[in-house]
Amino acid sequence: MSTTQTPSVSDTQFAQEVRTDRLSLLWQVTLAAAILLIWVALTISATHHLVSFTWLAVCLIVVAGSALTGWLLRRNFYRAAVWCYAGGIATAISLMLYSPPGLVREAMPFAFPLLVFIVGLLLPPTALIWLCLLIGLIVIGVPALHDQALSIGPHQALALLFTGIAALLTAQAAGELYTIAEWALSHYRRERERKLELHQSQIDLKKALARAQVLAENLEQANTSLASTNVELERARATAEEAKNFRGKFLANMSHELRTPLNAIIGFSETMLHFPEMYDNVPLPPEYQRDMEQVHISGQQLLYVINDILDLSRVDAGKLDLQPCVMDLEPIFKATLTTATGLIGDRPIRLLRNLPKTLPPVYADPNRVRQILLNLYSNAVKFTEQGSITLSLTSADGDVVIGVTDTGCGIPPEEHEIIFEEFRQGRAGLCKPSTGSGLGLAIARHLVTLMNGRIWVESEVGVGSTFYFTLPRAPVEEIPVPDQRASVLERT
Amino acid sequence: MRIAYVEDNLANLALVRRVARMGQHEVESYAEAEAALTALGQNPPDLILVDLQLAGQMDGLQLVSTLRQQGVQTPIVAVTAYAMLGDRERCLEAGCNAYLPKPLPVSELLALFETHDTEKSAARGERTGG
Repeated sequence: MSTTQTPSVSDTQFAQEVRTDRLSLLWQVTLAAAILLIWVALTISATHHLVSFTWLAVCLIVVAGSALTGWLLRRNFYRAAVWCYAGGIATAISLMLYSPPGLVREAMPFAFPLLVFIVGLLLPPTALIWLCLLIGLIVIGVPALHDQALSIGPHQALALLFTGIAALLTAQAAGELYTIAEWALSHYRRERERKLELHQSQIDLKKALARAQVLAENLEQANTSLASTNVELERARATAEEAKNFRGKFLANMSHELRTPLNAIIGFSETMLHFPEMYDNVPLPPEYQRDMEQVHISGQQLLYVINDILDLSRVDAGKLDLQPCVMDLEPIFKATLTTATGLIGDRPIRLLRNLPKTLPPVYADPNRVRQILLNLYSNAVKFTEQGSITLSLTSADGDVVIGVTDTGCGIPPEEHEIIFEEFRQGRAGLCKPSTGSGLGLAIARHLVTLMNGRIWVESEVGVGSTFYFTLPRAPVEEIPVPDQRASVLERT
Repeated sequence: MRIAYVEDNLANLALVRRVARMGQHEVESYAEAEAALTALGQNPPDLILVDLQLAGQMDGLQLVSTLRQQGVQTPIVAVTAYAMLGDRERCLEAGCNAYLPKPLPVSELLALFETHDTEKSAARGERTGG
């Protein structure tokens, strides 16, 4: 039994409570028995005169002992209560032993094993030792006191022997009983705790379930409102899509309707100016020719405006599809300079290159880089009477900085920003009346921004301007694909 | 060289006629695809220029695909003011050999005529030679 776990303090307390209950029942039963005995004794003595005063006294002592036990128990003096109970019984037995030798004196000591048994169940084994010593004293001492001579009879010896055996057995049995009881109790308590926990869990579960139901309801509501929001969103999206389509259609139509008459304007002015063979070699009179040149230039101008507006609207609509790749700048530079040569005509402007021997590959859309450069060059050519236009390239951090420097009339600082805005031109009055839609730089800025670059101008009035823009350098490990180069050349 | 121009805009037609004079090319014109379809199917010219937007029910691209279905092998060039993204692809898909957006640079038009004239002459030479 020692292998079982030691009971906890609370288990011991619980065991104590159980013992208190037992004792409480015991003294009440004893009290009742004693009172019953008194009543029987009184009844019998009333008719037969057989009951002595001793019997009544014994019963009264038991009654008093039991009552005192109850009183002590109520005040939580458990140990004292047990001793009081035992004392009452022992005193009662002693009183009966205090009699002349006879049946009573011989029989009474045999009541002690019972007392030992009871006390053994209620108190620890050490208490039994004391009780046994007390009983020994009583069994031997009280008859001797009565007879005024010490003599131990076989009954006394036998009763003492039985008492001793009872004490031993009770101590042993009680020990085991307590261990078992405490073990059972601890298990019972644990069971009860588990039951409580289970109960609590059930309550929690119910609460959680209720909460989940509420949540589910909320979720359902949210879903419903989300669905309606989605419908509205879808409607708004459809409207926006419709507007976008309408806008696209409008732009396509506008482009078509403007290009159709422009075809005749530009085409005929060109044939009249440059192809006299088509007119049976009848030359255009010089004045007609000058005017026709104006018609041709104006027509070209209008075409650029249309193209620029279409480009801008594509940027606005997010439809300008960039196809960035690892690209080589050399073919683009070459093509741009060729076009610029055509733009310059016979003006005394030199095209210079200030470039490193090997150009770093950049990550950008070749067609758009070409467009940016063309815009910058046509700008530079437009505002430069003589001197040079220089193309430069430097590397900074992860970027490549490309510059187009002209020796034109320059731009005052307050106009460095507005020239990049749509339909804005700077330098009013400073330079010759400028042609152009005023969209070239705005488009260049959009394109550069879309390719993760920056564009800005540095300029001094009367000296010239440099337009710079950056392009991200291609990652080092990537090698430019020859195909890209080929396609760029083809488009040029 | 015989050039057929399917176009409903008189100014543009006049321009092409003007440019064609340079190489002494003959230009026959059709304002509607329906009329062009009958004529071109019966007597194919050396080069066909087609505008996309026409006077009749049929548009230029429908005309081109119908002609191709009928087995007309003549080179066809789309000449159009539709110059938005994807217009070139639409034309080539329908069966055109090339696409020229308006306004047409005169030099390009001249080069186009010259190229086809040379090809035609070469083909004739081969035929007579063989």
